[in-house]
Amino acid sequence: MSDKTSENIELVKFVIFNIDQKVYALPGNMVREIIIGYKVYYLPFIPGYIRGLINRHGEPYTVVDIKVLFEQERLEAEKYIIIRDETDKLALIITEISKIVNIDQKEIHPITSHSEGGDFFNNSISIEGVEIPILEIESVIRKIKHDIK
Amino acid sequence: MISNSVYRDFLFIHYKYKDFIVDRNRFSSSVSFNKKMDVDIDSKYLKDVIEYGQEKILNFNLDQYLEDIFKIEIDSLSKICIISKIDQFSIKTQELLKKIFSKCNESITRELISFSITSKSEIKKNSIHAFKSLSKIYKDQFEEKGIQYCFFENDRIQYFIDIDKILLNSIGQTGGNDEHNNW
Repeated sequence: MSDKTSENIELVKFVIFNIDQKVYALPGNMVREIIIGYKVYYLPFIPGYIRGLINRHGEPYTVVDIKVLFEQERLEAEKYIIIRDETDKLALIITEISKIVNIDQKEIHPITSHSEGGDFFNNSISIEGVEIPILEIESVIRKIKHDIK
Repeated sequence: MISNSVYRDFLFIHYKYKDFIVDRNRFSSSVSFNKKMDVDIDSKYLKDVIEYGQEKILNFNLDQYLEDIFKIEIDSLSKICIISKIDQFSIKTQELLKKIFSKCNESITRELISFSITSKSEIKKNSIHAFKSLSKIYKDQFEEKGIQYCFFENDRIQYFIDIDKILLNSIGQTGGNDEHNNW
């Protein structure tokens, strides 16, 4: 999702969100909606970073806790980002949406040094001097595919 | 897989917080649980033989399987059994059962198998369109484990299960030693 301005700046929308104190970004075109306070239903045969299912308009969405994935600790929260793809049916449990921003495409930088959860981030954006990693949903999907056999 | 007809009969098995749905075509009849004897098979779920008319049938304890895998709470001691014809199952399952029967000394029928469940069960018509697919990321793997669809109703989750696949997966390739991967 990008817009070209009169000065030929290509703007890309990002949703900035918190997982406890950590800040991450998701491209705006990946996000369908934010929902609050849904019951999570048990699902067997899943790795620890998958919480279970939520009922979104009758469709089962799989809840991923990326705090477990990155820090091996469960996130206590009740907000969810619904990922746009309607067949993947994924939701991320998050603490809070921080803001929605439009960033010049040129301000998206590749991440060179990988730390915690590094496999899930290739790029970052800089907002008010803070580097925010962009979560690669495709990497999360690859991880789930690998772990559920 | 369920057929194309929109409204079909399904068995709804009710537990405390969740329900399970089985295609009515997967079994031919039902009886109250009447244990005849124990059977010496190396599987947690195949311990009983039940009486069905003049026949003795090997019983798969589906209640116990669902308790282990889905963490259900069994709130009724009263049980029934659904009886399935073995030739209705997949070739793999039929072969597995043949192997198990060959290890049994008891004179049990080779044509039928029973699944014991809570008596809080009922047959209802339901639209097949009501069932929702799981995420395509792991849908195929779950179908292989016997979990095909799910359905939400009145704040409860209902899992559409395939007893053929459950039997095959829970008893495993060894013809007796239970094998299931539950993280």
